[in-house]
Amino acid sequence: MTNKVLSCVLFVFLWLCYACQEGQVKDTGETSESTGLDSLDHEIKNRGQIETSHAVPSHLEMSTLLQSLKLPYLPALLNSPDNLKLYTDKNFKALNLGVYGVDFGYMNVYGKGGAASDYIRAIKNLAESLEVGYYFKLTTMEQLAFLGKQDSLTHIMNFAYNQTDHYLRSVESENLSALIQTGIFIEGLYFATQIMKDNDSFEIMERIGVQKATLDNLLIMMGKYDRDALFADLTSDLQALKKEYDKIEIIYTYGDPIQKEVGGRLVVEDNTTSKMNITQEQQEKITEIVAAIRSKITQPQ
Amino acid sequence: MIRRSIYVLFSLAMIPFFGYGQCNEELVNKSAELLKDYTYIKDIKVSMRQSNPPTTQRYSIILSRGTRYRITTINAEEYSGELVLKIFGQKGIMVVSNYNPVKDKIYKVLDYTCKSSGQYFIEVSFKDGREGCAVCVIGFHQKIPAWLEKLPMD
Repeated sequence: MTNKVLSCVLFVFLWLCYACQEGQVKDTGETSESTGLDSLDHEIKNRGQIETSHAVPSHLEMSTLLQSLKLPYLPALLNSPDNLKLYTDKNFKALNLGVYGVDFGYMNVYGKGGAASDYIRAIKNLAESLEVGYYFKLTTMEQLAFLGKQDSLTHIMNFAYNQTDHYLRSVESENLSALIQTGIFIEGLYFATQIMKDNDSFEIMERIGVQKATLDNLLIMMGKYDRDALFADLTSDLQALKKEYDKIEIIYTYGDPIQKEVGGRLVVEDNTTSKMNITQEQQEKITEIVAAIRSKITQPQ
Repeated sequence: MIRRSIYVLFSLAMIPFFGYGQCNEELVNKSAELLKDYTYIKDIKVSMRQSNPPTTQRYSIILSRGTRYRITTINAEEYSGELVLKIFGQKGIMVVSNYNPVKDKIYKVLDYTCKSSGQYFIEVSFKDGREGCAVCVIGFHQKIPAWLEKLPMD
């Protein structure tokens, strides 16, 4: 009798282990190897089969562009860490984890990492509330900031945000991941649009324009949870932004890429070029909508 | 007898948990080391069973004009699968692959200079549909090259 019970328990245990392994190995894109355009086009239309979480630029990319264009550092754009006390709701914590990530990236890229201690603590605080504090090593980050190790700090912070995203997806908390990405998206766009008010830069304008594709992906992510009031409200705001973005025209001219092998690396220069048509009016409208969404996120009522 | 059976069955049951043990942060770090002076932005972990035809996964990513990207791949040593990566641009046109079929060579490091901003798709699979576990890391370098400054800005 004991043997039979034991056998049953072990059988169930083994079956569970097998089931767990099934989940461990991703099998999402079960299509056969595809190089044909028709097949990819089909999948682009049906984006449910394409992983979109990487489609939101990292919290660092906009800041790096601003710095590379030698634009002045504007601390007034940052969301004050004093606002941390306003974020009592889990969803707002996630949104502002994204926002503070961009703020920190901006400070660090401009060599102000040493003054970013309050931001690092705000990030750690929010991350802990969302049970992802493990990925943000406070002491290490503060030491690197103090020592002015800008590159290491950037790497550690980027890594922490990516591992957070992987983790939240793995524990079926994609809603929080979508909110972090929304915070990153809006804060980056807020910086760019505010800076464009006083700087007529083609590079920034183009970077604002290319967020059209990011926005589409974000709406797919956010749309899954629009039964929640906050998600529905944000999705509606992002839809209004998309309406303006849809007026922007991007023209691509195809050119064959050039490939060569250099020191064991494959070096490719793409010759497809893009031209973006965005009017002053469209830009102003986008600036206005982004500022309103950013205010809702950072100053919850 | 029962105790030994339990031990054997327990050991067998644990195999699946450790099967993909190397597909983790350690592999991400190894792949990130190949970035050198590029700034790490994203990593993609891929694990697939053997399949015929090869299974593929696709990821959407936004790339920006004037930015140089470095994409590195590292395969877990426990598996024979080698990651093949393809990047598709707008209109679904393939712009680059880390696999050169003529030389039958897979490059661990791929440097890509982007001249058109927009949405791209990274497609990954394991060569010949073998079982594998790998990490792909994407880094960027913002320096705007001279050729871009010469392009018309209208």
